[in-house]
Amino acid sequence: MIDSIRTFLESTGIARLIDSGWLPSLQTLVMLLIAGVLVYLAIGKGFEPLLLLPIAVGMLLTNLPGGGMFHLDLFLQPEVDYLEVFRTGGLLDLLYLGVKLGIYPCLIFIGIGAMTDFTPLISNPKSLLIGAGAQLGVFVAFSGALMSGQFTGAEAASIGIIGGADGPTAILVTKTLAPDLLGAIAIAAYSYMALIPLIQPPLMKLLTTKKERSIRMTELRKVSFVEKIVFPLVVTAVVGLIVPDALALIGCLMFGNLLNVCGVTDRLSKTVQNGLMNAVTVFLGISVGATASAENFLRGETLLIIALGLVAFCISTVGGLLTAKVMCKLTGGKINPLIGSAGVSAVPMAARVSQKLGQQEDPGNFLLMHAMGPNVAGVIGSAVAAGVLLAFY
Amino acid sequence: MKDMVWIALTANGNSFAENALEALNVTLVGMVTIFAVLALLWGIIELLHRILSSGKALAKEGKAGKAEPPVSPAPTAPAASPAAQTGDDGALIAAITAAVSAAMAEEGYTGGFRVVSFRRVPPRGQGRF
Repeated sequence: MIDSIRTFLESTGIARLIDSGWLPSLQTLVMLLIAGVLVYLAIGKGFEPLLLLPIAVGMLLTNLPGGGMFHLDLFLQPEVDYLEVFRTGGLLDLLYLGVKLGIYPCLIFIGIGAMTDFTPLISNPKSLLIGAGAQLGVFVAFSGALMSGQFTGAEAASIGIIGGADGPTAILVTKTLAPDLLGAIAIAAYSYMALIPLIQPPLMKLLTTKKERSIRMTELRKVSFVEKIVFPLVVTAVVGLIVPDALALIGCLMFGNLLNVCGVTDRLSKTVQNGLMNAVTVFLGISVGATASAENFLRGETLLIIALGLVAFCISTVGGLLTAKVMCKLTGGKINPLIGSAGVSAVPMAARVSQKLGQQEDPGNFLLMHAMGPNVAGVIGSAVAAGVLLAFY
Repeated sequence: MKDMVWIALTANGNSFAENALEALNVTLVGMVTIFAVLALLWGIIELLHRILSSGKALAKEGKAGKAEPPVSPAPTAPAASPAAQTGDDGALIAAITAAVSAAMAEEGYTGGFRVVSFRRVPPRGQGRF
């Protein structure tokens, strides 16, 4: 009886925590604390709750000693032994297969495509250039990470893509190039996306004049049904031909959009926007959170990743704003540079920030639809940037 | 000595200069590719819009050309159509009444009449369902 009780007590998480030594125990407690902070940010502050909450729970599950729910080492080998994953893996190992094989980010992109209205972009295709300019942060952060000497080219590329302000894109690149950094990069990417209303406005005010912020843009033209149908097909073909590594993301994004605009697949469109998107978001969040184990997360590089991620976001915002300012000059003041900051993907939060700042200067100025053009162009731009980085590494 | 310092700074196995060169290379190729792809998409979308707009304009012209001959012989019709477009029911009723009166006079009827109601006849080929 006493032996049974002793065996049971030795199998508890508390005993394992104590047995693991003071440093690993402390690290585990810190990770549990971080998971708690993320839960608070998601529920208490409403920061990207749909993703931060599953990430926090994944982090909690993976760091509780003895659970054995996730084994990142199974996936870090050059040739993953999938039979071994099925034989010895826990629930989170099996869910992580969707990340490792690049399935979840693509399925999420189908849902995003179905939920996104591309008509502001088709109506004003010049916005595409702003979406391109707003990828500057990706490459500046990549350069910073590489030149710091702390990261390989592949790891630096994964850090840089945080500047694309697109969670699924960051996850797809990182799972391919630097899977051991996935937890830190995903958490940084989603946290900064949630903090856009705090990060962007100071930069927007700094780089624009009061006169520029007050510019009223002309109404967008109507987009025909044929244009809406041809647009996703053309984007898929062009991007696929020039940057094939971006085809998985762009193809899925445009497929989702086609389901939405064609008018004959409403059931499919609603399914990918709701049921599929929600289910995949749960699987993606919880399995990405599971990669944030103490030994992977609590290291000096994580702080550097978080700092470089912030640099990437800021420089991307600056890149978009400067591109919009140049376009403002070239068009004789027809473009409000505030829409430039929306070039950093993060739909529709970044566009809302442009609208809000525009209305602070002129309450009658409605920039939201004009900012949605660069915003969705940023999604395409960040996918192309991801394709370029994947092609290099 | 400088080389030794740079090598000491980098943990990824490359010298600082090698890392900087690689960063510059990827950044230049990356930004140029992104701008090129998105500018190409801009061009294609504009081209598509122009083609579709010119196609629509041609179709409108064609329709206008075909629609004119049947309208011209009937003197009452031009008066009726603007009224119909503006939704002025009084003018429309007056025009229809005048047309009915003229048609009946041609048939030799000289007595009075009263319009009780009128309804739009659906174009040929369009059923209710």
